[in-house]
Amino acid sequence: MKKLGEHLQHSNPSHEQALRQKLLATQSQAPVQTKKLFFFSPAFAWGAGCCVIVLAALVSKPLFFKTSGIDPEEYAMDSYSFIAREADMADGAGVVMNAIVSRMPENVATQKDEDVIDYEEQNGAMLEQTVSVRLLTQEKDASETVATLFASLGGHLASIRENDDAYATITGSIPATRMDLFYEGINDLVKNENFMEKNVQGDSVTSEALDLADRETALRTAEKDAIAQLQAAKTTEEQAQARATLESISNQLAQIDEQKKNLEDRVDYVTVSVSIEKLPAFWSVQNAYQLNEYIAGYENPTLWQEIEINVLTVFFLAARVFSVAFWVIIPLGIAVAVFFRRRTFLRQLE
Amino acid sequence: MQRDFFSLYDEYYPKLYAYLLARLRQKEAAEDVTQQTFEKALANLATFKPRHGATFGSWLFAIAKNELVNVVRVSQKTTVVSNDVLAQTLATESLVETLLRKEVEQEEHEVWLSILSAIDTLSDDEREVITLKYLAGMSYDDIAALMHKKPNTLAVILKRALEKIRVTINVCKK
Repeated sequence: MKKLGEHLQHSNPSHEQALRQKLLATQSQAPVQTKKLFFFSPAFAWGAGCCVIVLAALVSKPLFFKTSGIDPEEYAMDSYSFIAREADMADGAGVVMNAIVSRMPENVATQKDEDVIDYEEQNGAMLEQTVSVRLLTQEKDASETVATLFASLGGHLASIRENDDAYATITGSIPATRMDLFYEGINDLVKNENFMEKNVQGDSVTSEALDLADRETALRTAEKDAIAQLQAAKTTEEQAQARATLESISNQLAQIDEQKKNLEDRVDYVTVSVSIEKLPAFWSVQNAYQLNEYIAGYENPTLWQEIEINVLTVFFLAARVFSVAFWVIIPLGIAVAVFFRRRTFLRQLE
Repeated sequence: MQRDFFSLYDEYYPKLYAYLLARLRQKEAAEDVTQQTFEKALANLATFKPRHGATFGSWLFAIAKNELVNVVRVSQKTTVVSNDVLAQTLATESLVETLLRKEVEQEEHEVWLSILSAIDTLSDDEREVITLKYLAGMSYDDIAALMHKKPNTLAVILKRALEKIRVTINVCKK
């Protein structure tokens, strides 16, 4: 039948040429758009949209194990506060600390009192430190070892709370001069566990100390005046008044002494909060963040733990790649399948 | 994709002429309708825009079908006549070619006639699809756009039509 068709198609070449010449006389040179330009086709729009989505996902998503930074601008400007998370790989102790060190914004310093600045430049800042440590472990008696450590370093235990999510949250205070020993003690006492985070916050109390000092100086001066006033008193009333003033000043001085002592305690002792949490098990890892914790929890993993880590890593990496490529692979696969299915079906009938 | 009109003319003239000749069964009528079709296409070229699956071929053949309807409506003489007229036409032309060629394909000529007879026994859709696909050499996409049917539907119609033609020819042979 095709041969019949070909014969009919080319059976009148003379008329074909004659008509062509006739049409040329009234020709339009305008080109004929026979197919829709690809760039305006739905397929191109879909492909472009998917590419934009994929690129946006790749750019906005953080790296697999990247930790996010902290903006120092978030913190109070009226106190000398800083956030420091220090990275420290203690040799042989199996301790890993994720860390980001951020610096104090410079403009904060201009807001402090000049006296405070001068004092700190000469004597260093007086800081009231607060340390929070987050420890992941699978050993349930880790809380006891940490509590023992507090006592051995001359610290004080404030509270021990135990709950279902975390094994324990231990709060206490440790002498500031022994914080290094505290960290080393954690390393020594707790094997194969890892600190995931250590947050150190220091609030400057220098201005408070200087304020107390200024008040004490003023009171001392007032005390001298009161003593002189007492010595110069001629009447009983003047003596009584002078004694009353002196007593008031003494009370205030006593309060200042107490406040100074309290301030010294706050500076000399660091408030430490240790949160001991359960290290996620292999089957309970649900997202990349928990995977990060799981991997960091095994500084020296066994062979089986190594296999588990690799399986989880590959799984989450594949999930991430698939989620990014989802908008491209599935529509493209459907389109290709439909195209080849239709072409094969039609060819079978030819 | 933009092409010059006359390159499209070179591509579609044979197909259009074969289609009209198969439908009208008269050479002069087919020439007239072919000319009218291309003249209209050239005049309305600016209005043609490929959208919703429409191609230049389907647009051209749509114009041809409208012209065909007008011709049939105007002159009853141009309704489908018997294959004898077409056979005579073919015989005349093939005779001319035969004089130029070395071998004679008489058997092939008879097969063609039987095929054309079998096509007349088909339904309108089947006849249309067979004519467009095998005689005019149109693609499935163009036929689908012209007849407003899905290519898969066309394939089913085509398969049914071929089966009927095969049965008809076998019956005729017997």
